[in-house]
Amino acid sequence: MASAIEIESLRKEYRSIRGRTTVAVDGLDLDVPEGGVFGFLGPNGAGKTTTIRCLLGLVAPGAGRVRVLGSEIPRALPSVIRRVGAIVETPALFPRFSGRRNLMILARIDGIGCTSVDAALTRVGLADRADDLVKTYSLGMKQRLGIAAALLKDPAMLLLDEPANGLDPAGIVEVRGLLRSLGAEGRTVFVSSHILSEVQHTADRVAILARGKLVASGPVREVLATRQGSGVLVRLHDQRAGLDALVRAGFEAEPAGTSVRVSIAAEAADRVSRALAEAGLYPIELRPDEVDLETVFLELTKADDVEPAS
Amino acid sequence: MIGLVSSEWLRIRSRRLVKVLAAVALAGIVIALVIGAAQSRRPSADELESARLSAEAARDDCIAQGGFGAVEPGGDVEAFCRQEMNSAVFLGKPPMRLSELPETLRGTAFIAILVGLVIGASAVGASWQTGTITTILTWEPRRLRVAVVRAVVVATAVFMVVVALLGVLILLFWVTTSLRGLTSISEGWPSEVAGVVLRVSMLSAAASVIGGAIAMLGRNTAAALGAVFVYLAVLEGLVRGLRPALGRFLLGDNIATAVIGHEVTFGATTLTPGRAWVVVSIYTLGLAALAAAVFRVRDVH
Ligand SMILES: Nc1ncnc2c1ncn2[C@@H]1O[C@H](COP(=O)(O)OP(=O)(O)OP(=O)(O)O)[C@@H](O)[C@H]1O
Ligand SMILES: [Mg+2]
Repeated sequence: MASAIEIESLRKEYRSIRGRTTVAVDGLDLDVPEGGVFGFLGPNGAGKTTTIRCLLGLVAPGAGRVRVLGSEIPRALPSVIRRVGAIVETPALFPRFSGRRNLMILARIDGIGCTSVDAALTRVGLADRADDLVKTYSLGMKQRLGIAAALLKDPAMLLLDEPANGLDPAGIVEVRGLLRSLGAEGRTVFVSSHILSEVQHTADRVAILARGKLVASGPVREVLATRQGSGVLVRLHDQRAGLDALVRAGFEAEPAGTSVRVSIAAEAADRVSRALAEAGLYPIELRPDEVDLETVFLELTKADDVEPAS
Repeated sequence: MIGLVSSEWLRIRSRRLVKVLAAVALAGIVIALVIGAAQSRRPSADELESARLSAEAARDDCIAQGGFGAVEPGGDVEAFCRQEMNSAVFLGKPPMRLSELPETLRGTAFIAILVGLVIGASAVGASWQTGTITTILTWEPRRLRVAVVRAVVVATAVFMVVVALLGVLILLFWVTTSLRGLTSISEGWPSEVAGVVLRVSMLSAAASVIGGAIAMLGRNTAAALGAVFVYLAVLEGLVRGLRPALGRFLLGDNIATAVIGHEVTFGATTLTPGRAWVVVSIYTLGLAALAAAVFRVRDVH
């Protein structure tokens, strides 16, 4: 599979006037395949935005190589940029111009016509507010306009820095649908986000960044599997009795919240049921113990997991 | 490239500040001319005749007395007396005269240049303050192009706005003097008027480039305007006081000379318009080049 983004040993430090240096990206290696949605995750200050800025030639890396759609950045940027739509941090727009005027100003740079502007506005649900000044927009509306601007070029790749930031639940669901459909159309959607449940349901692959370093990457399922010991959760009226019965029956069991966690493949859960029934106990609930992205993320990005940068 | 020009053009056209400043300037022109018209009165034929006679007598007197000692040795006494002892001097309440239009136009230079400076600084500063420079660079990453196109578009827009405003001023001035003043003009008047309009407009455009360049360096509008004022008011004042020999390189004095259009003496130094234009161009292009060079390599946040 061809790579849409290749990052090799990328490093970026910021120097303050007082000589303090902050290592924002610390030797990052990353490969994003073409097509589909790629979730780029990391806690605040992990270096996500800085990485995206490097991909767009907005900041010059201290070291490392970056290729976007097969071309070296920043050398080949002028030709690549036509196929890349981007939002960096919060979308930066002209507050005193209308939404439509904002898009027109950008569209003209690439000779894109009014029809595409209207189509983009409609696609993000802003058509009826298009002629209001952007400074009168809500945060979510600005975010939508940013997405519309990114879509304007009909890009092969989208770099979206927290596109769901500030959106209401309906908006989040909309953006989720939008990202999925963009990915399904064969575009590469590289999206950073803090809403992990969202990413888990939208992204095909993820990379997790902590303090400028990559701590995990790959298909969502594989990343989840790194921390997922298989098991089932059993909830009973009498947790204590259930735990005793299961241990007596030879299961590896331990209390987990109000439930009991049994280390066993989810497919073998019927054996747990039977053991409990034989002890005269009947579960209220029996379900596979799934690790979610949030749990994995929090474990992987715990401060002591990564050596401090800088 | 054409796309970028068209985009920048749409942006400057949409800027409210440009419209507001143009409207305020227009209102200023109208108000000033209405006041001028109210105070001006076309003299009657009798008054004109008696003023002409007084002027003639005074002129003869002036020539006879060798220019009252106001002419430098070797100077043309007769030309001096002809110019100074004109009939306008002998009219009780001087009416507005079309022949004085060039002086009025020169008087607008300060404001026009200020307007150019503010428009240029804000056209660039606003992009940094709203962060839209990031957005633009994700559409056109060739920064030199972005900088040059913006400078050219903004300077052109300022030039056109100033020409248009001065055009309105000329038209209203002509209407006012036709109705309530004197319209006699000398032979060189049209070219002098055209020259002043051209010079003021060009200097305003140059000021917009200077304002934009400093805003690019400081990434902020207010900082740019502050820097220009500190430079003109404090730094040039200090240089003038402490190192008068460097006076001929001061931006302020050279701009003034360029506006006036003939040799001007500031203290010990005499500036000529030709040299003044060279100095102003060096300041303008030098700052623009510096700003573009810094912008090319700077991280954009
Ligand atoms: N312009 C800058 N000057 C100095 N330091 C910076 C600058 N921009 C970012 N940093 C530092 O670089 C590090 C990474 O910042 P970055 O914005 O890339 O993080 P992020 O992953 O996008 O965080 P968030 O989730 O909060 O958006 C942080 O420590 C930050 O303080
Ligand atoms: Mg960020």
